Amino acid sequence: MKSELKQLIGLPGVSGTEGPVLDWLQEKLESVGEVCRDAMGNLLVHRKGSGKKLMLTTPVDLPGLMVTQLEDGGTARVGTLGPLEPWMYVGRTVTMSEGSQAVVRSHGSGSNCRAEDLYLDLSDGPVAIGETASFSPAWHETAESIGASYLSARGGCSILLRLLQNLKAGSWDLYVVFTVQGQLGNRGIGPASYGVQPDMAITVEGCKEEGAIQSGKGPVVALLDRRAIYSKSVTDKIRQAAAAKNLTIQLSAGQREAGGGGGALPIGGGISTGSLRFAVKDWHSPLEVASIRDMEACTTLLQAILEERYDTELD
Amino acid sequence: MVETILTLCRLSGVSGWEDSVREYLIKEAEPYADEMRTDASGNLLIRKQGRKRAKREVMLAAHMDEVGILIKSVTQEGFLRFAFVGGVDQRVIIGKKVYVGENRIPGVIGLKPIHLTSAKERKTIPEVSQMYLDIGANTKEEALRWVRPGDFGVFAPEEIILGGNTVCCKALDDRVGCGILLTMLKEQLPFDTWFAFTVQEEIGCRGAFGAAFGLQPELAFIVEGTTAADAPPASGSEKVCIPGNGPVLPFADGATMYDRSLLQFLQKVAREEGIPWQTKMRIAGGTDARAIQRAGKGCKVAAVSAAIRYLHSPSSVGNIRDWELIKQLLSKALEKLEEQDEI
Repeated sequence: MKSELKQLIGLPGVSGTEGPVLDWLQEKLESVGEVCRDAMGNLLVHRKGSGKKLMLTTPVDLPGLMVTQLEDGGTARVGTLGPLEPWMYVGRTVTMSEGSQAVVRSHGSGSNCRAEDLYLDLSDGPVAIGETASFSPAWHETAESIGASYLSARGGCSILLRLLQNLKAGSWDLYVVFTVQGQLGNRGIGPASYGVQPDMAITVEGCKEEGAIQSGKGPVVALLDRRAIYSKSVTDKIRQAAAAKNLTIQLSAGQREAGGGGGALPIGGGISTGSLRFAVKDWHSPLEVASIRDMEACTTLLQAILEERYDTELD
Repeated sequence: MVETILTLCRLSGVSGWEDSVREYLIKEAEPYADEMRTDASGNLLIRKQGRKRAKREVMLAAHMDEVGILIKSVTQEGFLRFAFVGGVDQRVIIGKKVYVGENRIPGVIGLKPIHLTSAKERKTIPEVSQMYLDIGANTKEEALRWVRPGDFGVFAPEEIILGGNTVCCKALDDRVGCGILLTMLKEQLPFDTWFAFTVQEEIGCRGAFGAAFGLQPELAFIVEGTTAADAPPASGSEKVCIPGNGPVLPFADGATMYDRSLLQFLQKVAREEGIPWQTKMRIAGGTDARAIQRAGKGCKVAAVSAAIRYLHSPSSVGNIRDWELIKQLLSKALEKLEEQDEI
């Protein structure tokens, strides 16, 4: 899992310009299922089965900056995409969507810095309006945990990628969707859900370490968040799978951050939706920290659900 | 086309009361439309046959509604209390003329006399709760003979032609789009195309969702008026876009990431046709694309906007040449879309 996660961390893909990471995933996944992109740009992988339709989703995009204006003297003004703290970017090297590097500087001072104060120093080469920028990839590994840029955004990709590669049996008609524009209020998941119209959905993503929810203490099953109260039938299934596999899980209720599930739940005639997460320390900083074991446990849980059928009440 | 746009601007169409705009469009489009319907939300949907059948369903969209006011109550003295419909710039509406309801009862937006204000009040922008609409009534009863709470109020249409190809009037956002679409609808098209004239954009893109959900297009072009902010003291990075510099093709705004492939296609068409264009230099605002992109299974969206100064005020200013270039760009884009296999 680690080596693929590391590769995923290295791929650009700020909201709206997810091309590089989606292309990489598509190449990896063409052998495991039928692959397509929808109009929004979501990447869908379909593994046909005779059973009910299950959709697993994870967002692929990163928060970041977009060039809005080029200035004389080799600088560029930017706007921000997604929830980010402008001051965290000041003085950092960013990688542009077209591959060059730039340094973020600020006309403001200290932590009062606003998004409007940020600008790019382009001594490394010119950029074009519309190009996006994200922290240059960082990776720091210890025995217990991984520190990486945008771990919260890309951990879910590696969980679902691993799942698809490991998956053997299972009767579910499975759709795995890598969604775009997750950082912009989960804009991609709604159209994907309407296209797939599943009987059940589980969203997979990172969540902020807060309160009792901590990284290293097992996968997080969200009962509710700002945008959704998750379906009990799905949550129960995840909990049954955890019990069967002897995995410790954490239950979260009332996280401030809204997960993607709220974007799937009300679609079409309504979709039974659950939310599986892994806790991330130093949320949205240039080096987010999470436990590799939590992420592996997420894959194990999903695999158990898919292969061992805890889907009695949906039959 | 400019005359059509100005005629459209003169009509009343505050969000939720788009009737007179829709009626005008129906009357004008009828001889050219192959299918026409008003959906449950009030969107006007028109299909026009082209030379060929459409390779992919394409929708052009513009919103019919404009910002305005809503009458809330009447005071004992016969003054009307109101709320804004949509994001009205409240710094500029004091003293402006307004017509209320379908009977177009004239009124003027009033405020406490200046010599009764405190020094502090003179330095701050008054809240809408401190303003009132004066229709000349002396008592509550008299006022209620002419207007009712729940009536809409629309800014008085008083257009003036300024220099440098610019025009000042109300509701350029988005009668510019309506006028451009109406003009295109009357011309021969390369393939069957849907035109959606939507309702309630100014209060959260509420109409467009239903229009897109009903038609399920593959591609949508949203023709809009967008805030210019090029006048003083805006400088450098504060400028958003500039009237007279051509169609605005945004990468992103506050509500939508536009489809990059569709945007590149439009840029290519503009380049090949020698049409100048600009982009939005700030990620702000929003268009009906927000709803259209995410309705149903989703669709690819691009916006082609006209830069408008003083956007949500009774005196918005736009450039005629921009409007003509938008129409030209869209017409050429449709022609070239036909040859395009992949977007």
